[in-house]
Amino acid sequence: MKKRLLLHLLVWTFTLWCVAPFAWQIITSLKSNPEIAAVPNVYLPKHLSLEHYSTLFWRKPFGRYLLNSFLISAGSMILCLFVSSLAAYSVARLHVRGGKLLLLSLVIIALFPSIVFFFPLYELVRITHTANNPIALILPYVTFNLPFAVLVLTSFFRSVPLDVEEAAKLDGLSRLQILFRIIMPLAAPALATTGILIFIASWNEFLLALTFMTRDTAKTVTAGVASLGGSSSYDIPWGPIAASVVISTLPLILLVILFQRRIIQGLTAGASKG
Amino acid sequence: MGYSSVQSFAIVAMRMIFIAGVFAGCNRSEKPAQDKVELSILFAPDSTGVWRSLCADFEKQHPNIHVNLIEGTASTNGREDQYVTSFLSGQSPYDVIYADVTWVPKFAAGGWLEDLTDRWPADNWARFIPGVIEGSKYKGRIYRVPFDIGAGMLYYRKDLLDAAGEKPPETFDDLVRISKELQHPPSLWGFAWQGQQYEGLVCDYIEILKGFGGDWIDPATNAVGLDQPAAIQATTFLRDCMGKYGISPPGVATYDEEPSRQLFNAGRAVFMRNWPYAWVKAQAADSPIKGKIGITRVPMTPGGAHASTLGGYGFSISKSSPHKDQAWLLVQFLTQLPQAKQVYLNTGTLIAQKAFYDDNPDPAIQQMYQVFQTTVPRPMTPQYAQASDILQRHLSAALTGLESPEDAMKEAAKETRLLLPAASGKRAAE
Amino acid sequence: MIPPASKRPREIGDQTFAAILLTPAFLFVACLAIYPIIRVIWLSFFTQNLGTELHPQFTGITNYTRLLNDGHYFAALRTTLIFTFFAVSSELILGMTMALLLNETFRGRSIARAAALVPWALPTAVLALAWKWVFNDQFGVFNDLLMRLHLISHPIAWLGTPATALFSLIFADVWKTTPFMMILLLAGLQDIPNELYEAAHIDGARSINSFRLITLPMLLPSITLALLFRSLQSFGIFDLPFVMTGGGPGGATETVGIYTYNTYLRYLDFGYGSAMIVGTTLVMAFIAILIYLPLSRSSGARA
Repeated sequence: MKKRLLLHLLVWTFTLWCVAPFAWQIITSLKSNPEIAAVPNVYLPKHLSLEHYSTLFWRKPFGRYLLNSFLISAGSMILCLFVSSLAAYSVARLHVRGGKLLLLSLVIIALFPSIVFFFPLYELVRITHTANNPIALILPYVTFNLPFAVLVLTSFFRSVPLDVEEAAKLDGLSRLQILFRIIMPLAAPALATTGILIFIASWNEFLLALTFMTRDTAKTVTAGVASLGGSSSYDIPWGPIAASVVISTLPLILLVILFQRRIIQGLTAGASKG
Repeated sequence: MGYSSVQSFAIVAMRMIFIAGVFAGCNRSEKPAQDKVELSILFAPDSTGVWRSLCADFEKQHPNIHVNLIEGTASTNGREDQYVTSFLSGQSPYDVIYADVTWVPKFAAGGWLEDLTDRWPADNWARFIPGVIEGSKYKGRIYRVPFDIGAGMLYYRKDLLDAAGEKPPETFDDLVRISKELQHPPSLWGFAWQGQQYEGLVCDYIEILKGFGGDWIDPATNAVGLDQPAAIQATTFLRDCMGKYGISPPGVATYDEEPSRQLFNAGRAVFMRNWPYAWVKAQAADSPIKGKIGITRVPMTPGGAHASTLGGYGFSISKSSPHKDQAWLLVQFLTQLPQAKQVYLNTGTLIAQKAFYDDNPDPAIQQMYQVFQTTVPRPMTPQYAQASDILQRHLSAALTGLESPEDAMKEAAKETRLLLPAASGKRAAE
Repeated sequence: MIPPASKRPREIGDQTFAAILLTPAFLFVACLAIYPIIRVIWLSFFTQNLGTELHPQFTGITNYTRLLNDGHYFAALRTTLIFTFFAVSSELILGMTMALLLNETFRGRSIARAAALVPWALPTAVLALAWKWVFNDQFGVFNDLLMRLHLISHPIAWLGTPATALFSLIFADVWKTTPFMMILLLAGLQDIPNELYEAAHIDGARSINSFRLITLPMLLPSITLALLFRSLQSFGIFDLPFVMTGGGPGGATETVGIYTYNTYLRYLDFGYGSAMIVGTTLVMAFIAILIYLPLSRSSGARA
């Protein structure tokens, strides 16, 4: 009985600890400035105010940031799913030559932090004049997410029973038709799971987004928010910063609530195949 | 609330956020294209609004030019990074650059600054304090029109020195002697300065180094003077301030401008090395030392010279700007004396033009002007930032006792030589 | 190589078809992953910085000589090693504990699991701001809680002193990565068949022994993988220190990632930065071998 209680206590402490910094930002963003600066801290604000949210949208093109993030993350997700599912099918089902080589290079790439690729990619952006263009982020994001996506989808395709394809072949369907009309719909759950993870990873990327997007209206929300608080310690507007943290992460929180099970499935699948 | 209700709420919320985002993005529409030329400049925060009003005045005089004054972060480094990344990306939106003195060699070497030597003949330079002109040049060509000046100065407690019948110190020995005489630590220390590991430490050090007759880097030959006796003596002097002489609080190795100023402002130091802004603060109504301080040049030794590290901003033009002529008009406008004076009146920033000091009645300003005659720029090498980093680290190690001054300077010299290319591709040692 | 009967190509083009499907992925990898790696290695043998007015000059191993004498680099390396060691070991222990706890079924378990995803799902760079606020010396809630619990009497300048700044960084990183570790280990735990525990229980084993003799060995592959992956990731960390402390105070939290970034983009020393990356990768490879060898040997021994 005591063990049970201890278990519950620990789990709930852990749960609280996981959401605490974020919850604190929510509370801070709704406080008025005097309460923000109050010492000792005010945990339950007496006066709720949305002023920081309106300040935020007024001072910075926050709507643009969100839109950019959305477009870039969605674009990376779709493109990566397309490329990786083709490659995964090829490796899993068609035993293509070079498949092992691809898988090996993918695993090695996944081990490098993005700073390794950063500068040559930056050079490419300069040469092609694509700074501030979403494509400058989408293409690298596809590449960074390929290892995970290909590994997960390869193992998924390997698990699809052969008879499905054999039956389709007997029905006279061409290889392309088999791929897109039979296999892909079957893969929908795996694609959805992988897609969500790619979306999240792209939304959260910082190094490239910070450097490739210099114009304010081209920034993603992650780079835009981080640059809000990045300077000296004087006069940091903690209220609007908290509001910006909340807004920029709200879509992700919603994703987590909606797709909790899928996400965990995807993470563990990726880990065990890696 | 059941799990599925949470899910539905989440879906609706996501849709709303997305739609709001699209609308908010649309509302921020670009200005319709007009027949105007738009000049963009990335500026420091304009808390008094004086710069905006100056730009508005300029626009009245030039109705076909619109000035887009973008307020950036207060941090100089932060704005420098923004300029650099925009230049590197090849699509810089900035026409005019509000350039700190340390940026000139770096930006010029990167090929991002317009060479102003032909637009701005040398006889025009005469109205500026010579040191700031030096700080606006790279390889003999001028890249920046100076605006304001900052310089390191020695503040002293006039009341204490007068009471003891002492004149302001000319040499380091004087400084030490008077400090020892007048201080009674810990309530009153002798000499407050900036010893933290950061750019300010290097600024302080340069003044001492020149005072001992030493040299850091000669940009023409990339010769490094850090392991010469003068440099080692300078480092030893600073370390001894805390140790052997005991005239500086041990905490000085962690001070930047503010802690040292606060110590002096509270009346707890006889001498302080700091920038001009400290004077303004000291003259505030509630300052305990109001009216009690004087300003003089940083001391030296007979084999050296008085030196004051140069700081300050000016205006440069971006080489890739499509509106260089209009940008030049703006730069000339902003650096005229009447406009510069307006900025001074609003923000207390000191102007880099001689005329400003010619008939200024304020004795403190006149004292500062004397100091400004001794300004030296930091080494005008494009790789200054890295050289400064090397020096900072080793100075800090010497000050905190991790390395002896001699070892620290020798290491610093070695790393600096590896950093800098030898001039004309030949090794400097040959 | 003769394909098995069930997969014998019906037409000549089967391998071609497969190759076509593979091409987009190969292109991405070749252009945006392989090429950058080769380019970095290439660039490391050139000097291209402001001293050369950003023109590349071949200088052989000069950059490497300079790297070996660079006190700043070794300081950053030391900071990164300390950070990685403490962060990864903390999150392993905490993650393991939480995985064991969450392995039991109880009401509200899915809420706990969803909450565990929050740190992982949110952008590190943005949360770094949240942490900056938490650790703020005057208004921060960390100080507030410690003072309310009477554990400290004056507010501590967490991000203002070198040792405490590194601690804060590690704390924030452990917060972010523990849940991920927990999920991985939990999946591994759930793969362990219950019969093993039941058998041990019947034999009278205490739970700590069954942990040592059943759980740990069976989890070793997962642990090794997690440790390897997380250590390498941790070594290259950038987002968190960049936004939370900028590498300060006085370089106390400057990781190799930040120093490399500054070398590229603040100092504009492109060749040298590339040499730095090559050097750091070698260090990382060495660490990977250090982690992998002993652990793979022991899991091999048990097989």
